[in-house]
Parts: sequence; C-alpha cells; structure tokens
Amino acid sequence: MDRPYNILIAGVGGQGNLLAGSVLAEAAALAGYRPVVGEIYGASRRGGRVMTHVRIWKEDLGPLIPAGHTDFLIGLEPVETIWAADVLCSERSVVVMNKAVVPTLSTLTGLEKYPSVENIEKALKEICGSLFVMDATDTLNEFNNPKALNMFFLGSLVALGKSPLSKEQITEGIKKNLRNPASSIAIFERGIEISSKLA
Amino acid sequence: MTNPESREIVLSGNEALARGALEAGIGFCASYPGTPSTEIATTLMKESSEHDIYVEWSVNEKVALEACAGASWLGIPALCSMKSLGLNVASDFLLNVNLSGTGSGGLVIIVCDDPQGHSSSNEQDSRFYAKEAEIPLLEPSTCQNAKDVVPYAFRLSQEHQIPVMIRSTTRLSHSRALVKPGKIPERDWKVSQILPDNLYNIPYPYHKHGELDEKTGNASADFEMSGFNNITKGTNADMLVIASGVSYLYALEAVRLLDITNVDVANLVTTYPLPLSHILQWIENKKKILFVEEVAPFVEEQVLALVAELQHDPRDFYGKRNGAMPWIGELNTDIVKKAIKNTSEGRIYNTDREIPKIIDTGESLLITRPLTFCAGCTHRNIYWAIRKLRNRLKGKLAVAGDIGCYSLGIFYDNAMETMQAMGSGIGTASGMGQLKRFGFDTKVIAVAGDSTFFHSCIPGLINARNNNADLTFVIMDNATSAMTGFQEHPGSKKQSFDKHRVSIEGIVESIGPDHFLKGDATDIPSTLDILWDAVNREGLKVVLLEGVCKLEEQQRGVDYANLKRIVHFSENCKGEKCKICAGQFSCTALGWNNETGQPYIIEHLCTRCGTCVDVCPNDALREEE
Repeated sequence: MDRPYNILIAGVGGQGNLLAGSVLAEAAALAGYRPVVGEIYGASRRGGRVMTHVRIWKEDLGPLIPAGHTDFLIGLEPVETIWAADVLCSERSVVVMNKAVVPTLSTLTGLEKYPSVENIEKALKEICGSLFVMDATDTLNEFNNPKALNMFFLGSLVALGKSPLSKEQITEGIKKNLRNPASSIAIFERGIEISSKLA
Repeated sequence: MTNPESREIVLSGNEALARGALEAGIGFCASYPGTPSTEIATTLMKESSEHDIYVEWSVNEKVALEACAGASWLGIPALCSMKSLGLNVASDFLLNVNLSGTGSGGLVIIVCDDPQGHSSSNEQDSRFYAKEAEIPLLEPSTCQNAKDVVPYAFRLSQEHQIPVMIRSTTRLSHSRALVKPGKIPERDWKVSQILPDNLYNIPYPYHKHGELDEKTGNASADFEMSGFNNITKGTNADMLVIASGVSYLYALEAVRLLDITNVDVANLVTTYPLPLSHILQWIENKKKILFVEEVAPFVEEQVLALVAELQHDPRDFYGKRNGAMPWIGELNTDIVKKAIKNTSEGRIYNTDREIPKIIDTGESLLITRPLTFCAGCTHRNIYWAIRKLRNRLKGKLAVAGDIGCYSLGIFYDNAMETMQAMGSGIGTASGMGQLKRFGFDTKVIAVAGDSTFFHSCIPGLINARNNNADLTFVIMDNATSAMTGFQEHPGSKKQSFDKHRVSIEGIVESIGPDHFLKGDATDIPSTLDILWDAVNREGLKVVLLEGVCKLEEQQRGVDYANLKRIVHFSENCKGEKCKICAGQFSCTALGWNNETGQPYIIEHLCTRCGTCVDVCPNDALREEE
C-alpha cells in the first residue's frame, strides 16, 4: 500500500454503521496496520445521520478522511450516500449503495419529495470512479436478520473494494465484536457472493 | 489486576481516557452524562467491581466535581468527567477549589468539548476555564495519548494538590485507534480519617491566589520535562505549525498531502501553562508560524502575549486572529491543508470549503434529515396537547424549554420556544410569570424532563414558589436520562441495589405549588384537559406527566406484538383535506402515500401505542378488533 486506504460508511441510526467501523478496525489491526475510526453522529437514534470514517495506514492518522480521498464508500441509504459522496468521494472512489430508502420525516409526511434513486445514481456516477447498486432486503429476510445490513456490505468491500483486508481478517473482526456472530458471518459471506457477480 | 498487557487494543478516545484512569489507580469517579463524554464514566462503571472503585452518576456536574473533591481531600484519586456545558455548571466550585487545594488524593477533570456542536447547543472552548482557574491543562491528540496523559495528570495533581484538567473533543472521544495498555497498579493510597487544613479561601483569598500562582508555575516546569510536547521536523524549515489536540494529526497529514518539507509541526499537549522554553525553541529561526487549534485562539493568544515581550520580533504569526484559520466550526485536514498552503505563500484569507459540484439532475438530492421523536414517544403526545392548547388560547401561550430529548419540541411546530442551559426553562418562566403587572397576559408554561428536573430545575421552581410567579411547570417524566443512553437518575423507578430513590412528587409537594396536577402522557385527551385546567388557574401550577421512553423499552426487549395493531379505514379517511395524522401529528410510524392521498402504518416501527387513534378526527385510525 503506498497511501492510506479510506473506507466511508454512510447511513442513518440503527443500521449498524458504527459496529461495521469497529469490525474493520479490528480486522485492520489483525492485518498489522494502524487503523483509526472516526464516528460522526448527533442524535442518531432519533432519525439522524451517522457516518463512520475508517482509515487504514501504517501510522496514526486523523480520524477524518480528507475531501475526495475515499477509496470505498458503503452507502446504506441512497440520500445518505449522495451526502457522503458529495464532499468525500472522487474518481478514486468505489461506491456500493443499498437501494432501500429510509424516508425522512418530511418525505414521510409528504412535505418534501424523496429524490429519485435514479437521479442519485446519475449524480454518484459523475462524482465517483464506479458505482454498484444493490438491494440487501432479500438476503436479510432469508436469514431473518434485518439488522445485519452492515454485514452484507462488508461483503461488498471484500468483493469490490481492492481493500487491504482479507475475508478472514474481517470474519475475525466480526467474531470479536459480536456475541452470536454466526448469522452475521453468513450474511457477510452472502454479501461477498452477490457482490462478486457485479464485479 | 496487575498483569501488564503488551498487545495493542482498539479503544475509543473515551475508553482510552477511562483506561488511563485505571492505570492511574483511581478509587473514585463521579460524572453526569453528556455527549461526547458519557462513555468515560460508563466504561469505569463496567470495571468498578473488578478494580474496587466507586463510580456514580451524580445529580449534576457541580455535585460530581464536589463529590470528587471530597474523595481527593481524604486521599483518594478521583476522576470527574463531563461535557463542555457541564463545566459551566461546575465552574463555581472549580474557581474556589483551585485555591483551597485538592488534598493528597488527586483530582482530574476531563472535559469533552464539542466543536461544531454535533450534540450540544454551543461550541464553547472550555480551555479558558483552566486559564481562569490557573490549573494545568492537557490536550491529548490521539487515543494512545489520551490514555497516557491521565496517570500523568494525576501525578501532577497529587504533587501540587490542585485540580488538573484534560480537554478532549468530540473527534477524539468518538474515534477509535490502537492503544497499548499499561499496568493497572495495586492500590497505593489509603483513605485518611481527617480532612487536610485550610480547605477554604477566606479571610485572604489573595494569599491563596498567590499560593496557586506558585503551584501552577511549578507545573509549567513539569510540563517542560513531561515528554508530551513533540515536534516533527521538516528540512530547513522556515515555517512552524503549532497544533494541539486532534488537529495535530490533521496538520501532519496536510503537510504530507501538500508535499512540502520546509515546515515543522509541533504537537503541543500541555496547553496551559505554556512550556515556555519549548515554545521559544520551536519558534527560533522561523519566519512564519501558524496556530491550529479548536475552537478559540487559546494557544495563539498565549504565544502572542509571550512574543510581545521579545523586542522587534521578526516573525509573522497566522491564526484565528487574522483570519488564517476559521474561528467557527470543527477543523479537518482539508481546512488545515489550505491554511498551511496560504501561510507558506504568505497569504491570509478565509479557508471555507468550496461549494460542492454536484450535477444538476433537476431535483434537489441533498435533502435534510430532521430530528424527531421516536415512534410512540410520549413527548410527542405532550407537545401535541400543547399545540392544541395554544390554538385554544389563540396563540397566547409562551413555552420555555429545557435540555433533553424533549428539546426536539422546537422542531415540532415550535411547541417549545426557548432552549439554553439545563434548568433554564423554569428559570426564564419564573421571570415571565411576574410580568402581569406590566400588562403581559399570555399564559406561561415551562417544560423539563425528569433528569433535568433533578439536575437544575429545583432552585428555579423554589424561586417561582417564593416569589409567587404565575406559570405552569410541566414535568415530562419518562424515568430515565433518555438522550444520553438511559442512565439512572435519582427519580428512576428502578434503582441499583445501593441507591435510594428520590421522588419528584415528594420534592414538588414540599415546595408547595398552588396546584399540583398529575397525569398520564400516554393519553392525549386527558393530558390536554389537565393542561387546559392548569393554565386557567392562578398562581404556580405543577403538572407531573408520567410518560414512557419507547427506546428504553425496546432496549429492555419489550415486544409490542401482543398489543392490538393499528389499522387504517380508508372509507372514513378525508385524505389530503385533513392529513392531521401524518402532516401534523407526524409519528414516524405513519407514512403518507402521495398516490392514494392516504396514510399508512409502518408496521415495523409502530409501537401500537394507539395515540394516533385519538388524533384522527374521522375515526379512520383504529385499534384492530
């Protein structure tokens, strides 16, 4: 690696965003790097946005990714993906986006229109190097584990990210962070499998 | 536990600070929860039985600091952690105990500032309290550094018998990185049976001030030797960046990204009092000096004051005072990069980020995500009743607010209208409640939550009683400190085995309002009746509304599956003409279908509380038979 590898995870409260950051930090430590994770959230459990910056390098870095330096963006929600990409992504960025929308209070009540996911994709393609759009809903339903969206997309990182972290290291990271990791690991592996087909 | 671990582990900044406290051999910790500081005490609570330390959530930050001083006076190393705003509450005591002294135990205050105000109502720079109190201040820049400064701060406090302050920021407290844990020592302190002498500042506070001056002067010398202040040298550097806190890492990365070599980057960890000889050494032979710190020009002003004593200083200084660095908001590598580039080119202008270049797709993609109450939250019910009340009063209702989840009432049709400090709702209302004599005939309500009630509302309520203010004080009691993660407080129904519950009801009764009404916030119609009744009576009215925190319930594993589902009867629904449920009541479990022009229930979010059934005027929302 000749420069830091930066992973950005964008979503809303309750999607397992911060946990995914902890998993990647453990995995990177196992791989012999000095990871740093920045967690950005306000009142996330009350509908707010959450962003996790994961930076993997051989020495300590600040916890925030510089503008345009994102290598891999995990967008757990479309509007959150475009918000994150807007400043922090560039041609160097690979983006995976979960298609499932989490409405905002004003789109829920019809005061504001949720933008079309098609337009979000268009804008992301302009900003980023490559874009993969997925819907993890079926997989999560199949495993009856609606909270494991984060694990599915960690699989995408392995399949599409050219990251310095191996499948085994991330699996170890999951085991270190979860008491009952079996279903999460299965979803992570399914994430790798499904994402690989898009590569 | 004495076994030293050699392997590095991933810790958050807050966990690292807590680990540092264990390695310092603390015996006592008192705190009040507040983002971004909460996890310091939470982590110590988890470790408390293993390491035989006492950890409490105090009623507020001032009491927490006082409790810690009590322990320190009697020989026990005590840690007091709080958020920025908490130090305002504790400052009255701080600005006295600094003079009186902290005894032999050691007293360290960790204050977590929140540049940008991610989870705070201001972005204050708490470092000025250290300067005002003339106590040593340390600002760690990494998680490892955070752990390392804590035992050092305790040694300093023990040696000079003054409080020592550590300042973290959100970006450090909420980051995670590798930390090499050290040894947790065997207990080396013993509780004293007698208080030290002279724990007061009268009759000659200025004598005490003189003594403090001397102690702090000694701490400055300690700082020179501490080894925490480092410099990363460039080649033939004619420029210097003096960075403190997490900004140090931004500055290092910025220099690397700019690919320039003529810059030294200094990491100033001991920011008050300044380590003078270090500073003088660092600035020697430099032409330009840039200060990188969050939020105010704290180090900058001190260094400028220092160089003012040097005759004909040839250097140029760049910072917040001349616009080279922003004074407002959180820093990051990009801002620092721009400032270093400008400084190296001898230019000064603002470093605001450029306008993003998102393509025009004909619609706005960057929609905001407003905060709101959780599905089933009883705060929403109370504010709904307050909105109805305001309509009945033709708008003549002033609602003074307070700090907690219920602060979101300001985004709920302005149902809550003011928000400043903890306890300020009842305080400002007690002033408004005196204005009838000037022709003010708007009804006055103050709202506060249960934890806030204990923290700071009681003096305001007594003031209102004693001075006969005409107001209604509404206590929204959900029996937990919900905003910060469900910490226990004195009124929580469930108390740990060693705690004794203090009831809000008992306190209010003893204060003796003219009218004390109690209600159930899960029921909107009766809540509205009680509020209507209260505001139409004369004098001081207190309304205690018992509510529920649905997040806390869900955390405990409460399941709503056995409750009756809420169903929508489209034949009764007046659709867009009404839209009270989704458009105004706005429960997050109620969606609006723009195609059918009717609401729908979002099953996985609905807590089946049934309040929307009362809100719908057309009987279109019902509990399933």
